[in-house]
Formats: sequence, C-alpha cells, structure tokens
Amino acid sequence: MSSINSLLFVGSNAIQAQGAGVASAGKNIANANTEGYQRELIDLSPLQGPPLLGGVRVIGPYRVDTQFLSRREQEANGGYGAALSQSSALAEAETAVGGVGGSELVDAVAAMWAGFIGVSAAPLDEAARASAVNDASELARVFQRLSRELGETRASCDQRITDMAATATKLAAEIADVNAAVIANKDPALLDKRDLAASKLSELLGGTAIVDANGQMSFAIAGGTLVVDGIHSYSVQAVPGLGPDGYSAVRVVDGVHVDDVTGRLTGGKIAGELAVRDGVAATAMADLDNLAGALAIRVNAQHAAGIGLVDATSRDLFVSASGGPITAANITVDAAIVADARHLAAAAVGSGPNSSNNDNALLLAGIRSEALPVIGRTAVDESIRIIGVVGQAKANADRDVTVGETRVDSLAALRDSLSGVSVEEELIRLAAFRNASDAAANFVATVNSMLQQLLEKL
Amino acid sequence: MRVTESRLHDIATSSLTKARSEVARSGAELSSGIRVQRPSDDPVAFAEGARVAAKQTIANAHKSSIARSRERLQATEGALQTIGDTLLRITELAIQGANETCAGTARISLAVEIRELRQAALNAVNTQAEDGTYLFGSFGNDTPPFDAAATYAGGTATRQADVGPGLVLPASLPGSVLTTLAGPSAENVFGVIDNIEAALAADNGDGVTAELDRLQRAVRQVALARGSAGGYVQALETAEETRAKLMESLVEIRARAISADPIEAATSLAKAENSLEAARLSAQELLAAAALGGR
Repeated sequence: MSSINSLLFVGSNAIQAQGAGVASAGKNIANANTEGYQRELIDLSPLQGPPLLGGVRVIGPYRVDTQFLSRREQEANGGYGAALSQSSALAEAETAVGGVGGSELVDAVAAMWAGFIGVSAAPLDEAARASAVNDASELARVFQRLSRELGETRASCDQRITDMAATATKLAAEIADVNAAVIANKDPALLDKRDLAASKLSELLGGTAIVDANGQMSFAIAGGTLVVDGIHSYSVQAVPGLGPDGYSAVRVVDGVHVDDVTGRLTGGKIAGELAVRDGVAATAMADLDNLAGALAIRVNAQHAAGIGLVDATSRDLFVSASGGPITAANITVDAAIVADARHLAAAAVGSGPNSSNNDNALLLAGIRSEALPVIGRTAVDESIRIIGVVGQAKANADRDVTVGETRVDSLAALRDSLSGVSVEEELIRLAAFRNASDAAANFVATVNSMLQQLLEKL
Repeated sequence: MRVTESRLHDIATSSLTKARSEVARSGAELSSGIRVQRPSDDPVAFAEGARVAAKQTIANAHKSSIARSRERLQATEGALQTIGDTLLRITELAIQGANETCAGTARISLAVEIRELRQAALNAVNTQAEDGTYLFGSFGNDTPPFDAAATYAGGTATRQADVGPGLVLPASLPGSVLTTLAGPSAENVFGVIDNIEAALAADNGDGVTAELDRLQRAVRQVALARGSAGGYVQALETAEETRAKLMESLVEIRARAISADPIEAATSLAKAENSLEAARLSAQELLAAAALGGR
C-alpha cells in the first residue's frame, strides 16, 4: 500500500524526471547552432516498486550518434579535403605553367619559328634578324619564368603542408586530451569536441577514428599509421629537406619511432598538396626542363651547322646561364648573338661573309615540324601537352570537388537528420516536459494538501 | 527524414552561393567572348585553340615571306623584260647592220647604239633589291654579279622561300640563266651582244650575220628565264591564296574551339540570373520556415 510519504516521493521523482527533460530540450535549443554539437535525449522508464507506487527513471542524457556515420563522414572529409586542396594548388600550377593567356610557352615557341622564317626571307635585313633573336630570347625568358613560377607553386604547397601538419598535431593532441578526460567523466560536450577534432583531422590527413568499448578514440591514417592511440597522440611533422627535391617529408613521430607517410597519404588536404607538389607540378617542371634541353640541343646543332654574317666559325644559339646542361631554369641566348644579330647563323657554312644565303635559316625554321629527339613530338605539341596535363588534372580535381562536396553534403544531411537540433521539435519536447512537470507539481500539491488535512485532524 | 533549421539555412546559403557563382561565370564568358579561358575549362578545346594560334603565327610569317619573295621575283621579271626589249632592239639593229647597203659610218653608228643598249642591260642585271642583295646575284652581295666586261661572277643557286606548311618555293633567279651555264644549248647573252657590237664597229657585215642565230637563241633564252620568273611568281601567288584560305579556316576553328557563342552566352547568363532570383526567393522561404520554429 502506498503511504503519503511514498506518494510525495513519486511526485518529487516525477518533477525531477520532467525537469531533466526540460533541461535536455533547453540544452539542445541553446546549442542549435553550435558547431559539432550532437543533440542529447533522455529516456524515461518506469521505476519498479510496490503496487500504486514506483515512479520514473531517467536514462541519459545520451548523445544521438552513430560511429558508422562518423566513419563515413571522415572518409568523405578526407576525399573532399584532398580534392579541394588539390584543385586550389592546381589552379596556381595552371597559372604558373600557362603564363599570360594560358598558352604563353606555345606562343613563344611559334614566335621563334616565325622569326626564323622571317630571316630566311630576308637574311640581310637587320630588323628581321633582330626580331628573330628577340623571339629566341623571349622564349628563353618564358622558359625561365614558367620554371620559376612552378617552383614557387611547389614551395607554396610545401608551406601549406607544414602549416597543416602543425594543425594536425594540435588536433591529435586535443583528441588525446579528451580521451584522458572521458575516462572519469563522459561529458557529452567533451565527446562532441573530440568528434569535431576527428572530423577536422580527417579533412587534413584522411584516415578515420575508431572508438573502442571503453570510449577511447584512436585515429589511423594511411596504411594503419596511428596518429592518436587513446591518451597518446603523435606528432605530425613536415621535415624540410627530407622529401622529394629537397621539400618537406611528412612524418608521424611517436617519440622514438618515425613513420614517413609522404608517399602513402591518400586522403586529406595534405595528400592533395603532396599530389601537386610531388606529382603534377614536379612532372611539369621536369617536362619543361626536358623540352628546353631537347629544343636547345636540336636548334644549337642546326645553328652551329651555319654561319653568321660576320663569323668565321659557328656557334650555339642557346646556352646555359649557369653552366651545365640547359634546362628551363637556365636557358638563355648567347650574349654575343643578342648584342649583334649578325651572328645569327642564317647562311650555310662556306657561304662567305655578308652572304645572303638563307639555307641554314630555312633548316632552322624547318625544325618546327620535326619530332624532337627523346620527346618524340614537335616543340609546339610538347608545349601544349605540358600545359594540357596540368589543365586536365585541374579539371579532374574540380570534378572530384563537386563529387566530394555532394558526398559530404548528403552525409551532412544524414548527420543533421540524426543528430541535428530541430528547434521546433525541441520546443514541443520542452512544452511536453513542462506540462508533465506542472502535472507532477499538482500531484505533489494534492498529496501535500492531503497530508496537511491529516495532520490537522490529528 | 528530420530537417533542422540549421539544415534549412545551409541549403539556402549553398543554393545562393552556387547561383551567384554561375552568374559570375556566365557574365565573364559573355563579356570576354571567350568560353575557354584556361586549360581546365576544356582541356581538349584549349589544346586545339593553342595549336591553331601557333599555326596562325607561322602563317603570318609565311605571308611576309611570300610578299618579299614575290616582290623580288617581280623585280627580276621586270629586269628580264628590259633585257628582252634590249635584245629585240639589238636584233633590229643587227639585221640592219648585216645588210650590204649599210656600211662604214652607218655600221659604226649602229655599234654605238648597241653599246648604250648593252650598258642599260648591264645595269638591269646588276639591280639591287630593297634589302641590298643583287637580284641576279645568287647569294653573293659584296660585288655586282656581272662585272664591267659582263662576265658573270655569281653562283647558280636559287634562293628558296618558306611559304607554307612543308612548302618551299624558289624566290630568285641567278644571273647564270643569262650565260652558257643555263643549259646545253644556252648562250652567253652579253657575249653575243659584244660580238655583234665588235662586228659592226669593224664594218664586218658577215660577222654580224654569223651572230644572228645566236642572237635569236639569246632572245629565246631571256624569254624562257622571264617565263621561269613569272612561273615562280604565279606559284607564290597560289601559295598566298592557299595561305589566306588556311587563315580563314584557322580563325573559324579557333572560334569554334574557344570562343563563346554570344547568343548562347547571353541565354546562359539570363538563365543563371533567373536561377539566382529563384534561389533568393527560396532562401527567403526557407529562412522564414526556419524562423517559425523559434517563435
């Protein structure tokens, strides 16, 4: 049988339970726009007790979450992050390799051939000679500038990688700190903070997080390398000089053990930057060097087979500004030819001074239709190919961004549907709990009134 | 599926951002007239456009080459016409001088006139082009190809001109076409003139008669040389017509590859602006719906 006091207990228990509901709804409303917040719910279940007694038991609050969705989101973040950073870096690379108008190298090569045609038509014309030498010099300048700007693009990627590695280290430390804190206190706010950090970390490095039965999160990236393992976090370092071409290598360091992940990252913004720094941009630079070298070798061979107006011996047209093999970074026109265009070898050897023989100028112009040795294409076609490869990579990255964005967006919609706060819904919950709390208060007041009456009678 | 106010805000923002971005892109395309502004816009079209631009640059160089070569050959043709006319007059004088009725001082007068005509012909074959080269000088330029004795000191090579893709055409005639170097039955044109002059000056009618056949051959030789020059000019003119047609088609190809069709671009912009307006209206509705939840 129930006693008055037992009834009071039921009433107070009910008020507390409804109060918990009001608190949870209130907390959700307060955090409706908080980044990373996952709504909290409570469950009410009947408290067992003697007939006509008992009460209500509050289960929770618990976060509405699912690890399955979290892992899908992290994978999507990694892919999207990689595509985004790759697209952005490739925009720089595309501008660098395309130059003015997007096809500066192609235009400069064609202009040089046109210059040789001009000299072949008027081998004694000073203006034609000067124009041809200027066109060759301009081509050399374009090679140098494109090479320099591609180098700057790679350096920018490298700097961003360094900055992102530092951020990744901080995020990993944050996760480890939360792991330590939740051992004693599984505060949902801490779990939200940890999930947000994991999401940002996946955007930077790719990889996914796993939460074990004890609530401890570990975060692994490419090939299973751990960045967070429970309360331990490892440092993500970009070490200058140890990567390809002297750029930074990306390593995960856990005190003694060092894991170089530079070539293994497949997701995340860092992977996107690496793909451009060590991939597309590096290849473009190498291709530019090969083209400059092959073109210079072929043109020089032909130029040296001819003679200038004031020369007794032949000379090269292109030389290296820094000595050694000719590359895009150091190609330049022989200073003597720049100073005096009469040194341009338009005539065949043996023509004698001041000859209007144009045989060699014709052969120089004819190189435009030849496939350059090793490269196997004409200079114009190879220039177009080099620029086109970067352009195609950018177009592919843009497409990946769109796909990634769609994927992230649809997962975000699912996440929002599951864990997001609907203010309308929470207001309804709030009203329900408040009404129930009012009813419980009425119940307590009724029981209290009964007790008062009993006490007066006694 | 639950839809929260936050999601409604995100949808509104995202739609507006995308719509604005499309308006900006369409506007840029319409105002610049270029559809493919960078390789990533359309890599294949960009490559085609760049290749065509390179061909246009080369074709412009060919235009200059053709023009210079044609000028030179037309001047050569003119010089050969002068020489041909000179030979015709010399023929008249030689026939007159060979006649028995013409003798003594009459023949000497004819010899004097022929000497003057010879000098005019010599000036013609030593004409220089605008670039300072001798029209008939092959590749030598320091001295005239024919000296005062009308001896040819130049080479036999013909200068070639780069006038089209894989096309090289003759752009000059060497002075050797007026000498025995021209072929098996060729004459030394100035040698014939000198012989006729000498015979007339020596009052030797038979000597003049003996040179008449050679003179005829010289006349034909000069006519043939003039025909060659004319043929080369014709070939260059054909090359120029071909080049001009090529340029027209290159312009068309490039426009098709990278230029924006103004009507399509304007339509695209109008659609984008409509989409932006629709996105604005739907954003208003979405945000209003989201705000209802707070009341």
